Amino acid sequence: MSAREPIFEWELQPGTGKAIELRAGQILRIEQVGGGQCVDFNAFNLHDYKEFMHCGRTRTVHGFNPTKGTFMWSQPPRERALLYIMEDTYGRNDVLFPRCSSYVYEAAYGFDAHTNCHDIQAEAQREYGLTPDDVHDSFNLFMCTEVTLDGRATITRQASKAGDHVDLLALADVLAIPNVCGADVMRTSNFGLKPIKLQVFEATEAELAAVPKTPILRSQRTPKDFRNPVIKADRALTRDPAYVPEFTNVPLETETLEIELTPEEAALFDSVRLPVHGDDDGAALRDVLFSWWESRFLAASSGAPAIGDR
Amino acid sequence: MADDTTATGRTVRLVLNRQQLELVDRTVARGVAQDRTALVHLALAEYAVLAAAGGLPR
Ligand SMILES: [Zn+2]
Repeated sequence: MSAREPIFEWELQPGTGKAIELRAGQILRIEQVGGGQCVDFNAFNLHDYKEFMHCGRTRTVHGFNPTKGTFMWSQPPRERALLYIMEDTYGRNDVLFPRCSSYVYEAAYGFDAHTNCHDIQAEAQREYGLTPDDVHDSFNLFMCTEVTLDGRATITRQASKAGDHVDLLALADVLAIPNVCGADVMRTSNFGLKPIKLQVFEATEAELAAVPKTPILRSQRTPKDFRNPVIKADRALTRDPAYVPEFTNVPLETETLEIELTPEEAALFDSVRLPVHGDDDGAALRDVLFSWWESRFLAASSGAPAIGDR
Repeated sequence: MADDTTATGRTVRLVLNRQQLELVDRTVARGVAQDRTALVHLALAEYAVLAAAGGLPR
């Protein structure tokens, strides 16, 4: 792809970010210049900023280190694949840590002002009319993290080299915002801030054809499906006196099935029932029923289409 | 442990909500079992085989 002419080029300087209109079918290459630099990343639907890349959804589908062959998903109830990670030469990214913020540098290091991903993202997004409250949880490229046995996430140093890059193929028109992580006093970027090269390319037909298909489901809803499609434009929360709740499938009526177990079945049941249900036969049998169903029929183990699942 | 114990076995009262019943009914409609009750018996039998083989995530 490097032989291809970029349609846009930019060098992100330390302390900065850049909002880039990336059309469906275009590729954003985010490349190390000196190596060892973490890049925080936000993305919004270019035509509806209320749809944005969602780290929670993404890590549920692809795990804690999404890399080549995985997608960046938008939040429920949109849940679309917004971007496809087409290439990732270093292969270490993070969706556990939030963006760093000025609070962190003040609280932990005593800085009055310090480069930080939240404020850098907000300043870059301001070019498109967004506010500091619109910055969302960041996908952290070139960031090495680990989860300890006692359940905490930790950051380690990284070994990305000049030329290492991530190629993000837009599957919808998005506003893509990468920024040089502001953390020069942490090991995230090996205690330094380096520039990052950005290029945009048009994808080829072959590259587009190589993207795994993600299903179109009824549950992927947009504002036309919302009971309240209007974006709230004032800050205070006040009760709507006309509100009538319409929760899905509520009330959840139940039926009782009387299941007659033979002595052999009863013995089998008692040998496999889980202790968590105590002496509640009904709960233990319901567990057997749906655990069996999962093992035999479940189509998507991570709760989303198992496309590019790893 | 049982709701009702007899010399020949016992009866378990399996309470399912409408969503759980929908999944059961759709599975029956696929021809997996004759009816809801038969599906539960099949589930128990196959679950026990899977459990014995260590093939069930806990
Ligand atoms: Zn940062």
